[in-house]
Amino acid sequence: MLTAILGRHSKSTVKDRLTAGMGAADRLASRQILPHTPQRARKNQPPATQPSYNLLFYISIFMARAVLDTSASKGVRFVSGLRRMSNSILIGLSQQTVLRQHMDIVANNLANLGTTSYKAETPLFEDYLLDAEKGDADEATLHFVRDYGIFRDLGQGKFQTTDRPLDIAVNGMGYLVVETGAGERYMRGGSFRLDADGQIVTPGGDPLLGDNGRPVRVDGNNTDLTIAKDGTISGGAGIVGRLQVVEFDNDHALRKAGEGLYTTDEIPQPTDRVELLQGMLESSNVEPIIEMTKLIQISRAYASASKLMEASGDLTRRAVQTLGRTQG
Amino acid sequence: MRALSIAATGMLAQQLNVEVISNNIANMNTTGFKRQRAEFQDLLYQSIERSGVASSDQGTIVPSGVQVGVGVKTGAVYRISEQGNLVSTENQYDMAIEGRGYFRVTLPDGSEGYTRSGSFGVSPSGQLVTPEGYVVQPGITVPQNAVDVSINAQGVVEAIIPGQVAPQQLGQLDLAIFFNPGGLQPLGDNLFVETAASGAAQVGTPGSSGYGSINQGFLETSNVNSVSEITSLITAQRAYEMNAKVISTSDEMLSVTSNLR
Repeated sequence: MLTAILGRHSKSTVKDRLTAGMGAADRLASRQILPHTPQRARKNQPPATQPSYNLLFYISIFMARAVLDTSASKGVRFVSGLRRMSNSILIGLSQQTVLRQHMDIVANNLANLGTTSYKAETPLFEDYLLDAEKGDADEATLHFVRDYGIFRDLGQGKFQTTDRPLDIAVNGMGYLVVETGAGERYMRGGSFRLDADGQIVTPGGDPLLGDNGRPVRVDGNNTDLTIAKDGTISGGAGIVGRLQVVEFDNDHALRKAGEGLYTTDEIPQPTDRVELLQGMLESSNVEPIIEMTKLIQISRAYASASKLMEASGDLTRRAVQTLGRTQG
Repeated sequence: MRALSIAATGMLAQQLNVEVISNNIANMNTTGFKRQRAEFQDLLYQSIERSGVASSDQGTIVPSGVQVGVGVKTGAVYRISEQGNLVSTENQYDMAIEGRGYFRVTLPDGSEGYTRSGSFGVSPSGQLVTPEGYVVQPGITVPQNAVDVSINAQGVVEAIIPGQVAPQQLGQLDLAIFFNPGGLQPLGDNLFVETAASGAAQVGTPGSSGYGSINQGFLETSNVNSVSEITSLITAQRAYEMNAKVISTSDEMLSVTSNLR
């Protein structure tokens, strides 16, 4: 019966292949995992289009072999193979964990589709290498996946005309300075208004700072405010002040603080290289089509990781059943 | 799974957006109506891996950490106090303000309300009143035998009385301006009241520096632009659908997990 199914392979060859094959399953699993590793080209990474059922096909072969392998004398080796099989489950788990994170980020991007000046984010993944068990010459390293950072798309959002005098958009990589209770924060334009004291404030009520480091204050009779490209605010009764515009050496070091604000430990540099646009708002730079595509990718990758784990689990279960039957 | 609640905040935000847009469209022909715009902000972020922490004892640091946002919230719903068009009505008690300012009105509880809608009339006692019958400040009483009432750009109200050569001056309307007109609280009926956010009303003569001028026989239309409202409506609807899609996809992923056994 066994030989009938396994064809030309002798029993021992089958067992060797089984254990080696389990290692191979791990490798395949870990290759399958990395959804994308931006900024890193890996030579052993398979093309992204490799369909997951290839993997399932391999696994089902290993599974059949494991089930058929019932030799009691080789039981120890078999168990070690099973243990390594659990690597497939753990690798699958590592993928699902980052996929969920990815999903949260895509959800946040889509939720902020209409948020002024919002910058889209993408998670960055890397493979976490772990040496496979010693003694298996054909075993390579296991590639788990983990997220190590978030990449913020700093691209300019589209400008949207509102004709509201205190809507300000920043053209270029500059930030307006906002004084909050927790210290200075930076903001890429937005919908501002005057508070009861005549200060230009954010929707949250925090004042914008002028280039003298103090909040810009508009006199009550000063109407028809005009904001020049360099941040100079003038009204019917003359110049009111100039908004402070700053830039940073590394924009990626800025952390989002919510409400469109950014915080950082970097030192802001005053800049003339950006221009302020009055009566305009920078819309978010989220590309709905890309996010929707990601949504599909994530859900498919998640399901295929589940399939992999399920197949792994199946293999273990059936192997244990068969082992129990022959030995009992 | 955070994605579910994040997408829910997105749907709520877009729902509010649609509500604001529908109110704008509903008030397209409301005199003196100022269109509103919902302003959205990102919610706070959860740091999963902090940027700037050391990634080795060689002093290398993590350049960008993992910060996951938790959705969107409504920052504010602004009134855009852009000037509406002036349409001629030929009605002598219709007034439009061109520029900044609000007419002052005494509300039934004695407090002061403000309105941009100048479609006034006279009460049985001859007082200048709003369509609700609230007296426009400062009180102006038109004599019963007046054949014509003229109001100039500075708000001076004059009546032509039969038998008198010179027109009789009845008083002068004034306007109230605010630091932050967006902070006024709407009461409905085109009326607003002042709040801490709007600042105190500064009353002045129409036409003087900082104040708008009065146009008799005109009304200010709403500043709602139907084309832009409809396009916003389409955008809002699509954004709503996409957030709904996120929820259904998250749900799918959860069901995949729960079917794992």
